[in-house]
Amino acid sequence: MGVVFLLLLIFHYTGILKPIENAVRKSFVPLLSSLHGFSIKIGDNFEFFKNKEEFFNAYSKCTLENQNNNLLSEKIKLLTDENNELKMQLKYVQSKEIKHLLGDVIGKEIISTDQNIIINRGSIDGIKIDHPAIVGEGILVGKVIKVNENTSVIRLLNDNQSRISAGVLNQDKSQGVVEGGFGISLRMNLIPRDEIIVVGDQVMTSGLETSIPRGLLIGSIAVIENEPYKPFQQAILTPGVDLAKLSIVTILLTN
Amino acid sequence: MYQIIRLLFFTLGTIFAVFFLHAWVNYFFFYPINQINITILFLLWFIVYKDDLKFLWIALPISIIMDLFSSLPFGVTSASVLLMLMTLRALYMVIFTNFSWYGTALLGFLSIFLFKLFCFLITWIGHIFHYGGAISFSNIYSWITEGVINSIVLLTIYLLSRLFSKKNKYQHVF
Repeated sequence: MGVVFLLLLIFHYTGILKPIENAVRKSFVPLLSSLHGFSIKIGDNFEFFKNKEEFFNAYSKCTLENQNNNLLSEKIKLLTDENNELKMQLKYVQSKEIKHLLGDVIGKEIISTDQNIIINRGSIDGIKIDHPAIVGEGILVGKVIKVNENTSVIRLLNDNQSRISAGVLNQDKSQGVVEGGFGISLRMNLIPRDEIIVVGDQVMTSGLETSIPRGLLIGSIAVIENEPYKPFQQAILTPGVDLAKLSIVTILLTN
Repeated sequence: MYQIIRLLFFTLGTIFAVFFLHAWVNYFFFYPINQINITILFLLWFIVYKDDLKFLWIALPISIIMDLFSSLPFGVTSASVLLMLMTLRALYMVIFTNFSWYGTALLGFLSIFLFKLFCFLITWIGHIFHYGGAISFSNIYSWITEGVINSIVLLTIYLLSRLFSKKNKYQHVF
C-alpha cells in the first residue's frame, strides 16, 4: 500500500498521472457544479423575516440605501469626467487595462472547514497563484491559492487564513489588514487608534500587494472596536457581496 | 473475469455514491450538519464493522479523489486519511479492544482530529522544505466540533446496526 501510494505521488509530481487526473476531475465536475448551483438556488429561499416589522424595516433600509446609491453614482460620474479631463490636460499616460477571465464556480472545499471555492479555469487559461478574484464591477471575493490544469481553488476573504492589505475610504486614509474569521466574518485589524473611522466607511484594497490592484471593494465597516488598552483598533466588516452565493467570478490576470 | 468487472463497477459506483453524498451534505445543509464527513465515516465503518485490511484499497482511490479537489498540495489529504485509518485501526484493535459503543464514539471523534492533525503536520514538514502554502493551527476549535458531530453520527449508525444486524463479526459490548 505504501509503495503504491509513493508511486502515485511520484507519477503525479512528474506529470505522468496528469491525463488521468484531468479525466477524473472532468467526470466529477458536472456532479459538483450541479450540486453547488442547486444549493445556491435553494439557499436563496432561506431569507426569512421574523415578523412584519422586520420586513418593513428592511424595506425602508433598502429604499434609503438605493436613494443614497443613486446620489453617489451621480457624484462618481461627475468626478470621473473631471478626472479624465484633468488627466488629458496633464497628458497622463494610461496604464494598460488588466486582463481578466470569467470562471464558473463548480464547487467548494468539502474536505475541510476552509472557505475555498473551485472554479473551472486553470493554468491552461493563464491563471496563477495569488491572482485576485472579483465579482461585479470590482468587489474582491478572494484570491487563487492553487492552480491545476483546468481548475483552480480560490480562498475566500472570510476564510481563517485569508489576509488582505486594505485601506478605509475616510479622511485619514487608514490602512490595515482584513482577515477572515471561520467563514463568518471579516475583520480589519491594525488600524491606528488615533485615526477616525465610522460605521459605513467603505474598505478597499490598498494596492500594497503586488498581485492585487488598488481600489477593489472589500466591504463596509459595520462595527468598530476601539479599546483604550490596545495599540490598534479593529473593525468588523460587512462584505460587499454574499460570499456563500457565488456562481460566477472574474479572475484578474495581474502580473 | 466477470467477477472482476463486477467488483470494479461496484467499487467505482460506491466511490461515486460516497463522494456525491459527501458533497450533498456539505452543500445543502447548514452548520453543524454540513460538518459531517461522509467519506471518513464510510471508511471508519470498515474498521468498526469488518476487520479487513482490504478497506485501505478502497480508501486509497477515495482519498486521491479528495486530493484532486483539495486546496492542499497533492498527497497531503490522501496521506493524512491513510495514516489516520491505520492509526485508528491499530487503536481500535489493540487499545479499545472491547469494541464498545464508547470506543466507537471515541473512534469517530479521533478520526477527524487525527486527520486534521496529520494534514497540519505534513504541511508543516513541507514548509520546512519551503514547499506548500500557509498553515494554520487556529482552527482547533472547529476540529473539536467536527469531531464531536462525526462521533455522534458514527455512534448512531453503530447503535442502529446493533439493533438490526445479526452479522457482527465481533461480540460488541454495549
